[in-house]
Amino acid sequence: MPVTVTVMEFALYLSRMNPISQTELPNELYSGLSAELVGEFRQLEEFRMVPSGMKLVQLGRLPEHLVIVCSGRVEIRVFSSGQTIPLGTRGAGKVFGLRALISGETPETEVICIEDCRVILIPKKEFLRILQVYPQIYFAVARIMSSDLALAHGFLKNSSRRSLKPGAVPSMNS
Amino acid sequence: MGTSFNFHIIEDCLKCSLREDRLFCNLPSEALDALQSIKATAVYPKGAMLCLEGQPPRGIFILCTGRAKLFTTSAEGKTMILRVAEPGEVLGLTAVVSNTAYEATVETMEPSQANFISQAHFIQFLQSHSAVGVKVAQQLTHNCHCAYEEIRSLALSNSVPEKIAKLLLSWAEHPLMMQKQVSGEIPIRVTLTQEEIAQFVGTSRETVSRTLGDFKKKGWMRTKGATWWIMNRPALEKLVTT
Repeated sequence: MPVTVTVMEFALYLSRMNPISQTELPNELYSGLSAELVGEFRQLEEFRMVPSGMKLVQLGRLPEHLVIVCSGRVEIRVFSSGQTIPLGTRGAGKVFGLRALISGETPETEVICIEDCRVILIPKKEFLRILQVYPQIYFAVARIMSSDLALAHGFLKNSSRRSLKPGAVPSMNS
Repeated sequence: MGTSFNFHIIEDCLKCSLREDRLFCNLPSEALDALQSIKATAVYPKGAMLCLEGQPPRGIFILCTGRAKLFTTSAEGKTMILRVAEPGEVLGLTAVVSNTAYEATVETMEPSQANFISQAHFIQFLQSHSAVGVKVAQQLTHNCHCAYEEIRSLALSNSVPEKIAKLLLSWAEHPLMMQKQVSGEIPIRVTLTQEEIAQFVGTSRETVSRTLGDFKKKGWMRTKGATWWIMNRPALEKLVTT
């Protein structure tokens, strides 16, 4: 029996399968960097498909890569005595693992795929090497960290400080 | 170093004896030279607003001396203190680097000195000195850690006494150095008013007053002006963990 595929579905399929088209999507790290610097990072990119339910960043475990989400959605979570606190969801263009890579401290949040995700991985060692050579990357680093902080502050602002019962946690989606 | 009304004004970052202890200022001399040329030093009285929530970013403030509270107002008009900034911290960083409005109002809690750097100058400063980039990353890491701590504590603390006990215990981590010290007592300096403590833990001033009165009655703490003494730390710890 023949399968009918619309043009839109085929375009979507191509965009998911073709890594080159994914790299053209803007992300928090590359936007604002010079073409030369973006070129340096592009040479190091490794693509991965990560199924829904898998963790991109694990709590308490130092990441080996910087992770850039190309497609799909992820949820950012904080844990407190066995309670899961979802801070919000993010999608294409979001960068994860940066704070842990730079500070050497283990992540305080967990990032889990809530859809199948296509991600770019940039090895930690290479990322830190480039960062040392080009201090201008720190501006992008500061912007990424600021966006993480804004998410946390927005959560605090929107939460009732009187009580935060499990399951009653407001989630902020971008 | 100038002095006015017993307040020491530090004009020159290169000669500042405090910078080694500070989160941001301990920079290499080349970066300090650049910092010296772009910053504007000002002294603020207690209660001065350095920046306002929702205001377009003008620049960052490096808090040299004094302390400042960062607070935000919810949609319901409730004031919430996000944290108290200590000397050496950079304020307004998130707004300046992401070119968004200041996300909190910063108000000095005591006479303070702050160095102001305009947005354009700061971004150029950040992009040209990797040591500055490292310090900015450290500051943002610290800020994120504080925010995540606050979120975690939201999930844990349910009762007001528990929240206030937690706050007292966190202040007890940095006890006041006093010449005469009673064994077993932890002296702390509290510059927050009861109203501000209420804004910190999300309750009313009356409830804070009642809770502190209860703690005193139980012999867990005593107060004299801005100096408080924690007399029974285990009792407060027990309250937090139960």
